[in-house]
Amino acid sequence: MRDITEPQMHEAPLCRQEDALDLRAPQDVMRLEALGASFPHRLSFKRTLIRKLHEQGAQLSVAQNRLDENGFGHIVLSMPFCGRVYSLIGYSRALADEDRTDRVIATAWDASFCLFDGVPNDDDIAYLADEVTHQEAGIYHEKVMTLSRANKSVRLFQHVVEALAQGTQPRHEMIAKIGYLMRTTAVYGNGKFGIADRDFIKVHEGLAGPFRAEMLTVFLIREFTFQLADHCARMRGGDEAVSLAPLMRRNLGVGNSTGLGMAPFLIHHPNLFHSWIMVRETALARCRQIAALVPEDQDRYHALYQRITAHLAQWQVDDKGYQVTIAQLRADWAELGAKIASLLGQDRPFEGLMVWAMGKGDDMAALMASFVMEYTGDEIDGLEECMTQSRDPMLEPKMRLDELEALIEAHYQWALALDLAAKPSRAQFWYVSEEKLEPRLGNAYEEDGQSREMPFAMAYYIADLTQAMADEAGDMMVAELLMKRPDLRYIVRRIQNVNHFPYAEVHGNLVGEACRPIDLLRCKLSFFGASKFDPRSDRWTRITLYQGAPTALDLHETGADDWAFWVVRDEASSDGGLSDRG
Amino acid sequence: MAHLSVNQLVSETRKAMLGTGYHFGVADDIARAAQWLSAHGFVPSDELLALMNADSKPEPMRPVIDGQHVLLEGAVGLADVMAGLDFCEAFEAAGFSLKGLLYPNLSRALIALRASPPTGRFALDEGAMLSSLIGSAKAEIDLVRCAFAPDLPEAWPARITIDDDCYEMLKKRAFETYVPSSEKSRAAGAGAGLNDND
Repeated sequence: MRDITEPQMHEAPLCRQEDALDLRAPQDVMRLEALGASFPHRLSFKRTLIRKLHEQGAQLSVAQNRLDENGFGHIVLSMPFCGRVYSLIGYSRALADEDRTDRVIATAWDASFCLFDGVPNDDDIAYLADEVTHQEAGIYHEKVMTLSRANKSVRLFQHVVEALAQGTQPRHEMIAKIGYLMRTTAVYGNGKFGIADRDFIKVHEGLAGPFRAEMLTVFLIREFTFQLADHCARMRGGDEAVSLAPLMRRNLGVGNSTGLGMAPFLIHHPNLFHSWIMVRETALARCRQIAALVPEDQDRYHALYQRITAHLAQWQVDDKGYQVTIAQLRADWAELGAKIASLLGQDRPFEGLMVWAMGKGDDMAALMASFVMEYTGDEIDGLEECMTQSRDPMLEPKMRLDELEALIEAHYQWALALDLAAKPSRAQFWYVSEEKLEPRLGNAYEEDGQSREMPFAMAYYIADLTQAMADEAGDMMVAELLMKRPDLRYIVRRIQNVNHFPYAEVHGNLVGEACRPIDLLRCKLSFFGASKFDPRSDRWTRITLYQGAPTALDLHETGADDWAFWVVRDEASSDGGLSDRG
Repeated sequence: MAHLSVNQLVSETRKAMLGTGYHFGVADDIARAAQWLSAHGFVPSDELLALMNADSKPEPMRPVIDGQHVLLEGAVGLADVMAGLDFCEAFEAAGFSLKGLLYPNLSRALIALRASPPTGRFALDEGAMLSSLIGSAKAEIDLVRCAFAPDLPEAWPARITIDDDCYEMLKKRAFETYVPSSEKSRAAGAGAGLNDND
């Protein structure tokens, strides 16, 4: 497939000759508020991984189960995938309640994991036991592809084990409320702490996609939690105990606490970010061009509409502001109910639905984008191959300052409109803390450290650049300016880059008082495929991954891909994502 | 000797260069140069160490333009090489000569990374790729523009080895970019403010 995210693709027809795609403008979709409304969709990373596992016929095996009567020890889960075998080694340890924290600064967890390239032998497992359980402090080799850790949802884990030990299944209402047996607090990849580099991993067939190894890790962690719960129930209940039923497994995902660490990635990798958004927007634009839906597809979308209604009803959070947003979303979605069937039967049905949704605001537009993309695999599957963009931004030294100024005018209106002298415009700064190197956000007027901030104050850098250019002739070349002002190299390169990669930059002031980091987190997490966003402040959120996804038990059933907007329930029903037409 | 992933080296180098006093854009380029070298199996420990112990200069030297040729001569640092490359592209230079390279391997990596199709990339005047000189301390180099050709490693190394002194200095300089923790910042991080036994 031609890479639609490559810059020349903006100057030539996109991917297919018949496409005359009307992509949404960066000025609209790259606003913080729009990014912060994102929903997972058909091309999210966990969705594409599940399809690949399905296509490959991947079968999970429990290579080792060395858990003791209390559920402590290790489990090795192995899975052949695209010609290689990958194994999750999961170490389960006793953890005092007072030590159970989701903070990055924690030093102990209920479980620690690594994704291992191959099947580990006993020496590997013994060596890694001391390293993986210490996470960042461990010493790793290239066979270790990812590193992760997780804590139990104590309430749900205990409930599930007790129920299974007594020969019954857990209450689905409780599963709906929590959604996972464990939540990870970090999943590290790409060479962190000495594990395998992404450039080393990406040549492995099947792992080239962004965060593919990390997504595989989380899929296997979910299986680990099932194994652990079943084991603990057997230890407690003996012959009375039963296994977690397939539908209950489907209802359970893996939780995650995500903080500021996710956000800098999007700024540090502008072209990768561009490729993700570009693919989503291209997919959406193709959907909007669909002339009509056949009756069978209309029925599928109608069922999906109802499923989303139930999914939104199950999405409950403590954050009052977020709850208001969700309530509005439910109300707007319900408004569609009386007319959805007729709208789906009209010409260009998705165009009409998107226009209506965009009129409702960012949240409904994002939800509708995910809705319309869901059953359009023939149109959009394969675009995910364009989501890996490794080109670094490049400087164009020959560009004249007049041209550079025009680029600023074209792409940075949001920055030019800011009152830079106003205190709220420079109220925050992003930095790396000495403490476990955790990215944080400081108050510029109350905390020390702004001199060591990460380079996210784009509007201010642009102002510096504009001032420097004002003293020079318009036909001066960038090379001349940078020789005088090497400090401007960073912002000049970013500005020139956005001319080729228009979705590379956030259209918002990341150091302003109004910046809510959670918007960036949600955007990135939506590409992972996260759902049930549950913000605990404007700086971190809990989420669930893989809730509703096929498990190793049903990965190869017909319709395995039909699980978007999952509704937790206790028995199969027609609207819950187990349709056989996926 | 320390054994690292390539990403560890790149990440530490970028931060260490910021800690040394280089600006973001320059530090980025130096980190990429270290990545290019390490991907070819060579870690420029001595040069990185020397770089971190030297003062970063506020402004690069002005390259000399002689017809279709750009020349840098003197004590040529990495910011000078970057400026020289900028001038080569800006003036579509056919040749680029550098004499007195302070950091020969990192300099050559910076040049090798500057691929700008369709104008091509620089190669040695006998046509060889710059990667053929990796590890050499040669401080002079004459380059000619050639057709675009990749100068990348065939296989990514699983692991790289770096001198302990260099790695310790990278970490020390990188540390200078971190901010001491405060109760206020700690209280706002992910997972904060909750009973996690829920």
